[in-house]
Amino acid sequence: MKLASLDRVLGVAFFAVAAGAALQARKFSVAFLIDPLGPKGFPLLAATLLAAGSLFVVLRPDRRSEFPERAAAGRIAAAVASFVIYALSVAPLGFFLSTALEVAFLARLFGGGVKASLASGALTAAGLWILFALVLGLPLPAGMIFG
Amino acid sequence: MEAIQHLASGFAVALQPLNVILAFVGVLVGTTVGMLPGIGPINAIAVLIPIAFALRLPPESALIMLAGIYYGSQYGNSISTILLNVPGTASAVTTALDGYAMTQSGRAASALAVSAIASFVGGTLSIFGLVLFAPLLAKWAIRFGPAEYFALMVFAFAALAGLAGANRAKALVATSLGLLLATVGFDPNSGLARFTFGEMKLLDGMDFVVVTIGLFAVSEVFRVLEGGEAGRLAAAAIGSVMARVREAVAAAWTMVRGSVVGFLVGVLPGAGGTVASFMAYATEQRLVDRRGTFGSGDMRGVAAPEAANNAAATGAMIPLLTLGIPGSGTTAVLLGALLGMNVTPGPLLLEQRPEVFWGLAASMYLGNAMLLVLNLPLVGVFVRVLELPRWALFPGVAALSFVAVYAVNQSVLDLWLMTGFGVVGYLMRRAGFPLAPLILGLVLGPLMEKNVRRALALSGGDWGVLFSSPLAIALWILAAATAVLPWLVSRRGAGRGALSLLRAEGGSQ
Amino acid sequence: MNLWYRGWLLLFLAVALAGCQARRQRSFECIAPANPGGGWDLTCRLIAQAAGELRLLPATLRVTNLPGAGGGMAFAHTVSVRNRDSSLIVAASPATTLRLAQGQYGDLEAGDVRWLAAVGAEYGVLAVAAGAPWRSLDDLVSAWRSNPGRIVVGGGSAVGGQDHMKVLLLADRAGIDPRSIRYVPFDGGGEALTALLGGFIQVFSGEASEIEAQLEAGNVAVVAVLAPERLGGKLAGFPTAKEQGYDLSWITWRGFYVPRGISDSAYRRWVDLMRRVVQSEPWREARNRYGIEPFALLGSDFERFVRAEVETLRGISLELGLIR
Repeated sequence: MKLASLDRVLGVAFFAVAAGAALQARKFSVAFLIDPLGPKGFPLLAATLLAAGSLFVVLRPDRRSEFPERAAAGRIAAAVASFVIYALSVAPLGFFLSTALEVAFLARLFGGGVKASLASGALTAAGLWILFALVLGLPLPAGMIFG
Repeated sequence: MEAIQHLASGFAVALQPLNVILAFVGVLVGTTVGMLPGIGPINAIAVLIPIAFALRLPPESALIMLAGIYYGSQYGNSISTILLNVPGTASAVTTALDGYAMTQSGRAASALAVSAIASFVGGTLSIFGLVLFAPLLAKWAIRFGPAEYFALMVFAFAALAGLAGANRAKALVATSLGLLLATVGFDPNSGLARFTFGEMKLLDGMDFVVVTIGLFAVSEVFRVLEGGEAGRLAAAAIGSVMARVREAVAAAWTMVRGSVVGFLVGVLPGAGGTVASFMAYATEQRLVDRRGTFGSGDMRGVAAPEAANNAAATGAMIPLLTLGIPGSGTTAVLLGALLGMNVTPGPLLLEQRPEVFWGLAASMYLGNAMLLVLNLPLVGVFVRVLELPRWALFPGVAALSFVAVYAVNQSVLDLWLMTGFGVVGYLMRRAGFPLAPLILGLVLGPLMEKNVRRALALSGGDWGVLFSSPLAIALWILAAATAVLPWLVSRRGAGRGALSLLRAEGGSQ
Repeated sequence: MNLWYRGWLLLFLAVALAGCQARRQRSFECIAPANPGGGWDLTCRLIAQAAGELRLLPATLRVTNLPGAGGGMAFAHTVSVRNRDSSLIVAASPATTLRLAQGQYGDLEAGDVRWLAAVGAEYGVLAVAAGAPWRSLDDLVSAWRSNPGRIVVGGGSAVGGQDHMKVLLLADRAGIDPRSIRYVPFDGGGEALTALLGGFIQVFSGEASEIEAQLEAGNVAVVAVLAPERLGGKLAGFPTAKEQGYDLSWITWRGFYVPRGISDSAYRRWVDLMRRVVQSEPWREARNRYGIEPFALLGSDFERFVRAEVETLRGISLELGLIR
């Protein structure tokens, strides 16, 4: 068994989350306490359970849990990066443009052709815009170009 | 019997041509809106209420349309859940387990048909429940105090623990992570903000839609990007409508049991569809899952939560109509609509405005029937979505996720969180952590914490209050039995243990 | 199959077109800082309806929901994104001023927006179950004095929120230590009322509209109405706290604020619109339908009212240790 399996990495990460949460929760204090548990009780309980579970996962990881292959990991990382760029650009560029570009990029990543990807991006963005902004009346950002 | 007479007159109202058309429009709009995750019936109803006012519809006609939207959106939600693994509401998470698994094995059409039929059965049976037992059940709902709610939540978690499977530690991690996430936000019992890091948005807690869409839909996009067989959705076999109906008959008793469980839970204000659909699933798994097929595409795993979900929606009408107390967000909107029509729901509604009560009962039935008529033939159309090539389908799923998360609150933070949960969800699924317990922890956690603290505040800190009523004690015994029984059973018949809820990671295996 | 498909598509397009038609002209916006179904949402929708019926605006007043942080998201949005937008009004109530007073909107303050008008109000009530031994505030207060732990108050708001405030103020006026009052928060007035009917709490602290149906059915009794004067309708038979000798009222006004940075003339136009709405017949009808009492404060009068209210609430919250 490899030392650094995916199970171990996740287990350590969750343990850290639990520890951080518990440290924060200990500091919760209030002037008006109406029940014996208070704001601390439940978070501390959840953190304890999480710590116990993740410790167990670290000590006895599953054999079959492995990291994704290199090429796959690269594609996923690119997708995550594009999500981040999308979040940054949706307000300034507007919903339609940024969504169309993002969908086109993802379509390329999934192996679509250039023209087909661009078309699918534009169609998807337009369809969603009609449904959400026009029919449902939800305020989507128009952006600087269409705004 | 007087009730039957009233119901008949209710049907006479509901079957007027205008009302039938309105029911149809309601179901149509509801189904369409319901397919979009994150929007939900509340927004659809809120959009249409002013239109109903503007058209000067009589109260019963407006209610018929609203009921149509309510049911339609629930079914629409099942469509996107089953086909794309994008559950837009907490109650659909349970449907995703077996529904998406069925889609992956090429049985999407069957899953959709079973879901429609189960919804119809749940809606139909629960309307009988409403007609026969409404006043009685209203009394039951009042007796249900904080201690009883807490015991009910423990019961729900016991159902989860009793099913603990291959890797209990991973299930524990997922559940407690959900519980911990549930504590993020403003704590009403102390007026304190917990784990919000000064971010105003987080005061309301982790948005359920953001977490689910990240964990289920976005992680699915990443998984498919791995390449290989993942996400290659088998070409769906589309049989005739009758063939699908015949197939669904096999799950008839599952639907009946799911309806009963769902209806009873739905009557309790605040508990609602999530608890109902999960309880129905867990019960059904205990009772009928002999071969351990739940979680890997068992039709009954779709039928139970779908029936329960719809029955719960009807059950939620009981506290609204008999007590004037809205038990869920959607019934709160309905309450507003009723008030706007000069109808005050409450203990006197049945006496003073029987035509509204029975008209609504009849119209809910009509909405359910309409749903079946509209959607069964359309199953084949919806399934076509799966014929799209992956490069067109999954970027679309991603875009749908973006809008669902962003449109409602316009918060970029939500997009960050969604992406984060997508990555975490992807890694967890890869490592074999089950995701359903995480969602349950997130949804049930606040109910559990609030009610235990409420109970203790009411008793002045005396823990005995948790076991002080016969109802609470009964629930505790049920919880204990639920946790222990499968363990005893599995000791006797090895390999029979029903493990799928914990094995299934959003139906991906 | 094909016929179904086409029919569905056609119908969908028809509904979509109708939807577009309904919202093509959109140039004024009322933000309800919560999800549909609550008080803020209702305030916006009623004013939009009345303004439409009276044709007071060149285009429709569109209602959008911007929920989050008890109105904090909408407040921050108004201040930071829409500061110069003269087409915008935002619904508000004492839930807004109380949170401002307790510093729950971060470092934002009441002065960061311009207060426009209050167009109606509801009033607080304290209610007990029908068979309860307390018939008046005096009964309740003396029971509190002798054994503060025996009576549990429940309400729909959080600790330190509106419903809690009502009883804290009562304790303050009656000379009881507010800390001895036991208050349990529920998720909304409906759940608190259920708890009262189920006997889990002894006193319900909430709004008049929340108890009307149960009052009519004879399941609850009102101990005090927290209005300056006696109300009409179903509550006409119940005395106010003032009549019973306690100087206490809780006005749940329904009103609006606008961005700080709009021009004086734009502000005056909005004030003028609100004045014409509150005097109109459609508004009176809409109010009556939802049990909202007449209450109008416009422009600078309302500004002064809000500032005074925020000061008072901040003072009480400090005194009680709810904030530091």
